Amino acid sequence: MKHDFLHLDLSLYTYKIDNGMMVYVIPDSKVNNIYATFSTKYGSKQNTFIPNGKKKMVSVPDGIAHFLEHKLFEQPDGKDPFSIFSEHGADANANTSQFKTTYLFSGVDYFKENLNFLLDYVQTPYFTDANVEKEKGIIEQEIKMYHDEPSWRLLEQVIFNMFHTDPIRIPIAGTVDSIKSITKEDLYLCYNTFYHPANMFVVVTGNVNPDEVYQIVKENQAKKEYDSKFSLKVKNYDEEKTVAKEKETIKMNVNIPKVGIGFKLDIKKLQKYNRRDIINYLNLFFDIKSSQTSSLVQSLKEDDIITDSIDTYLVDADDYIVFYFEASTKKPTEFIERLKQEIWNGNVSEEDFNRKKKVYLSNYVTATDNIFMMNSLVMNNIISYGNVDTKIYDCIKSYSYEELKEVITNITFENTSEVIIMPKNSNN
Amino acid sequence: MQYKKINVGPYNLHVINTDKFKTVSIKINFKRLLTKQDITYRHFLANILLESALEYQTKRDIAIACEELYDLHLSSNTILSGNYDIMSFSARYLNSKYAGEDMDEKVISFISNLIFKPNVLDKSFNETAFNIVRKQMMEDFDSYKENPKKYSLERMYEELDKKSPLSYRSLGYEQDLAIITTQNLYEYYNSVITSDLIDIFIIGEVDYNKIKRILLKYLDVKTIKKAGSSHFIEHTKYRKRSKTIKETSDFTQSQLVIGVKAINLTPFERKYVAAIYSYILGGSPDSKLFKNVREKHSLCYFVSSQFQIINNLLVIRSGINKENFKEAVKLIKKEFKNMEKGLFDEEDIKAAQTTYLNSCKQILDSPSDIVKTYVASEYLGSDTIEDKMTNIVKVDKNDIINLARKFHFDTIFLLEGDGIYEA
Repeated sequence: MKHDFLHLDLSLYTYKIDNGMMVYVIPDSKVNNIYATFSTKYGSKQNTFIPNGKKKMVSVPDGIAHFLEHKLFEQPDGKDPFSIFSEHGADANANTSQFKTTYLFSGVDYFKENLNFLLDYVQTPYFTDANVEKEKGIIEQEIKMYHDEPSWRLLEQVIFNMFHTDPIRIPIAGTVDSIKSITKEDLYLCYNTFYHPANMFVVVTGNVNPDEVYQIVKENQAKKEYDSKFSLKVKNYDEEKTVAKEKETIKMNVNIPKVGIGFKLDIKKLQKYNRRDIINYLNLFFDIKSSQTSSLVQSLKEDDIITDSIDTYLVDADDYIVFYFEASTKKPTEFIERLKQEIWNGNVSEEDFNRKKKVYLSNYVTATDNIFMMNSLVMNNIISYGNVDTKIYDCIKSYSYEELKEVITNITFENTSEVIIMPKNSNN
Repeated sequence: MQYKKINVGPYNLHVINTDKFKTVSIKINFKRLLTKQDITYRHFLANILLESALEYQTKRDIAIACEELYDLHLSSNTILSGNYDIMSFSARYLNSKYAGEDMDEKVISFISNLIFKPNVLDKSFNETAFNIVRKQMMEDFDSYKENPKKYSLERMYEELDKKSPLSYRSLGYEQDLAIITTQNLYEYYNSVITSDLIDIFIIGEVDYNKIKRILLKYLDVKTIKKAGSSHFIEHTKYRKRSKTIKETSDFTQSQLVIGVKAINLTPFERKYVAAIYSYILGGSPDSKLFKNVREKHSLCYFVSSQFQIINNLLVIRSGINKENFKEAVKLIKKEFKNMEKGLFDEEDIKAAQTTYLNSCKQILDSPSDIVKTYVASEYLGSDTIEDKMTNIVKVDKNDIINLARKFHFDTIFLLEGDGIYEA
């Protein structure tokens, strides 16, 4: 099916394969490159579930989705997927988030071979005791690398402290201890449950013919057999509105303290609006409040509280949205207080709102020049909303100042969690 | 896509006309021969000009003006490019078709206001803006050691050759910041706009004559064009026995950085053979280092090599446990020696060439990458994309072995991670 991205000179083609796999293609003949991603709707969050064909819930070690991502590069014939892509001059990689695991390649030539190979290696699990053991040293180094990054630690700790039970709180890669207990049986269990084609999707952006992409995937999948029935039961957590821990201080190898603060927002009350619009309005609100154009940043600089900008990040956790702020500051307590006061006074001006709308529209146009951004946009839409909105341009254009005020008025911004990283040698 | 280089008196204008993109990008480069003291001044200047201007007193005013121009993306930076220091201002904006109004003149006059009409009174930069930037830079110095990867790389550069411009810190120096005042910064600013070499690059759906006319109208530059000298850093000697420097830190992971000097390379070796060599040794997850140090021995998550053309330097990096330092270096040295012995095959070369060709084609998809190739052509005499694609396939096994003999393991830097990992 073809859908045009209105005003953006691009179209999205969607196809469904017999085994349930979805294929999304955005062709762009102006570029040379092609970017293909193959994802499963399975990330670090889904750690308690009923395995395919079983009846009882099981829990698996933390970090297993990410471990599985590493191990799918192991093939029974000993061939290294990276070598194959390298022979074709293509870049290949994979990544895991709380919500999905994605395998990808980009390259100008050998598209058919590359796409077939991407599907084949991901759909050929090969785990042995030895190759699982070997991976533990590598992942231990990966965990330690991120552990040394203050910004990464800060975000991870704030998310952990915001949630009581939702496994979104668990670090994506797990911990050095949790990965030690992972076995090949655990990996097969997760693979057989979450890597069913009906739980997976392909997104291709760039210089391709959409029907050809569909044919390649269709023919490839026709050669493989999967259980025609697919049902997935993942444990639901009745997450509380409050945060699990409001304040924490950790010490790290920094000279200037860093602050991370998250606002846990309950959006269930706003049934009049769809999730996408709520999230867009929230983004606009927080952007107006904390970007370089805000009076907050200007005054924090004048008062020597920050010298640079405030970084922001949004986490979409089903019933809750977490809006996260981060800054380096020598006055952490004052920063937190001023930021909270600014958010709690929900005032925004119509002038700011209209200007930010213009910015959002412009960003959509610029994104369409970039096949990597468009691919991510499709993937994130599928994971967050289950579909891709091709009318996004008109949709944002229709947003009104009154609606923004209504959304903001109906959300409570009281539930916050803050983490401060202090230098190791400080007395605080 | 059409390229035109126009001599506009005090500067060179490079226009790349293409309808491939919905945006127009501009890059204005000021460059001069690198001196250690200048780095901090230039860094300061690059920041203060985007912090405040006569017409836009605060950074907030500038940010609002950018958003009014359909979210004009504006940035400045300074980079050390071998023997040169380049201060550059970059802007990307929606083209007139998508913005629905004529953008070129509005954007260029805006940028010109920021660079050429700074917030200056009585030959001094505005004190408020000056203090904001000064504090930012002091914080950057304070947090210099927070990024273990960057810190280790610059420490290796310092240990490699303390007299070379390569040893200079890209951020500048605290003692130089201490002597910068609102007055002497303005003096330095004047010397930049009157004596730096200036190049302006613009890419997008634009009209040559119109752009030239707008630039002449708004860019009031009076520099005198001079012949430039070479960016390339040449090494004349290397250590017969490599030098190892270790430092301790509270990080949990140890950073290993190795500097390998390249001596007496021919232009063909520097431009092409080194790229293939580095790709095979440590340029991808299919490389010798990745397969052996990571996959076979599980010593690390990342290990890579990168050839820096301007610095005539091969840099090998990895993140390891400090107990594994000796083993990691031994394995890296073994792979390095194997390159000299020719222990790699034709498929490795073919894969590296295919990847190189692929990346050449991908350059054409990105306005900033296209501009980078024209900058490299102007400053370094790099070949055109077409020539690169023709030449890379000429590299053969003998070329790589010959080049391997010109690489010399010189400096090994280890930032030991003594911190204890706690989940």
